[in-house]
Amino acid sequence: MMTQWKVTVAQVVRRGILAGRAAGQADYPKIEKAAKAAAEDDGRIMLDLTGVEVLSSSYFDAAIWPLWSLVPELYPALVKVPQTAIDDIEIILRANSAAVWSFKKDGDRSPHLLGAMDSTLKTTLGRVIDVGELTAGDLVDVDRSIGMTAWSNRLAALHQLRLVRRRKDGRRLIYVPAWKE
Amino acid sequence: MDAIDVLENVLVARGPSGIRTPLHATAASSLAGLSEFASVRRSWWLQHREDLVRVLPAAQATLERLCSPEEGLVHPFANDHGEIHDVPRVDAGWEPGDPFMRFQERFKTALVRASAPSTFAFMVLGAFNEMASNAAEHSKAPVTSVASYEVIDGRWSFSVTDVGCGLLRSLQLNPSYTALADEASAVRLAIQDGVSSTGKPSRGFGFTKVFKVLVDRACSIRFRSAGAAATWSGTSPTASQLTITVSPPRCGFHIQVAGAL
Repeated sequence: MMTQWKVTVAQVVRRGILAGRAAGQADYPKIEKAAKAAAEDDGRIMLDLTGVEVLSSSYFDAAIWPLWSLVPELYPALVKVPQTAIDDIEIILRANSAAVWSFKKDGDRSPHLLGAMDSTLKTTLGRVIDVGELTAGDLVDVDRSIGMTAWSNRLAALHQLRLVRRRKDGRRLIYVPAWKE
Repeated sequence: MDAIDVLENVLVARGPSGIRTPLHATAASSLAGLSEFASVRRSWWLQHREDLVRVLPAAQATLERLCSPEEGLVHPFANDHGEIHDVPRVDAGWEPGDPFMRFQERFKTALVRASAPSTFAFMVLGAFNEMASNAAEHSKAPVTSVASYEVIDGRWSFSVTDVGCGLLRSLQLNPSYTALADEASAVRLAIQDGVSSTGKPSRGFGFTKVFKVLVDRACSIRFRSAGAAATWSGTSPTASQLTITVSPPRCGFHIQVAGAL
């Protein structure tokens, strides 16, 4: 896994106590700018939480979560999430029925999911990960009990959560895991 | 009840039970009390200037003497509504540049020097930030909030005080809570997880951060919103354990959190 597509959040905002919505709103433009500048061509960017001593749910909601929810074609992942911050991050992810990729350390090749996701989306994501690259049509071939439109919607929902990336191939949309290698 | 009664009711509640401590002496006994006093003063100055002129000179001298650069009261954030510069306020100790961040740095340093583990110091600062941010976002006050910290004699405390709309009017912005009728109910509700004026499921977890800091620790909490106060003293408080009482009405919200090191 490449590590240069990385932004160390505490360095960007120049402090380790990340709490309070007002502070988060003030910091978001800096974090977004740094993330866009450092992102790989395909939109992947790692948000390294090294040096974060406190991360509150309101700060995460205001300063970090918008990278997933507001910035098109950016595929963020968290790195080195402090143990004390996990509950706060999950409050926001649960409120948005969302999950994010998270790496435990630099060089980690097996990211895990933080947050909560609908079970059908989880199943669909599992199939994308297993195959590595697929279209809605490929999923219909595997499981005909679900129609093409439903598979397309599920893949689109995963893309909206930035858990998978996609590219066009003619009229087809091909999905790949955003981070799973 | 005039402004003097309000001030005394607020401040006597902070002193030893049943003892009517002189106004300025009580305010001088803790910076958090001072912060609350400052809010009363600012709040009532706006509305009842004439009444306060009679009592302020003595307390004013105490306030200004206590606000040294190292233990100053600061404004956490500029308020959306700007500042009213002709209203006197306690601002000794503010530093140029980024005063709120320097204030926090001093708070953290004081905690660590008093042998608090750095992880605990960061948690306290996190909770403090949440409360300061709440004041900035929700108070709708015409002037900025004030904050204080104190680390002394094996104890620490912080406070944040605004002179804004209070919890009841803030929560009533949420369509689910428009029927809330009194400030005591609003206090009881507001400190629960997930309750906010916005109604968004991701909001309303600021007080959670405060309660987390206090798990397994001897501590005391005081919330004061308009006409209600909530207090608690002991170990590991929870929102449901706070004692809520009706208090003399005034503007704004005040939180004081104190604990043993």
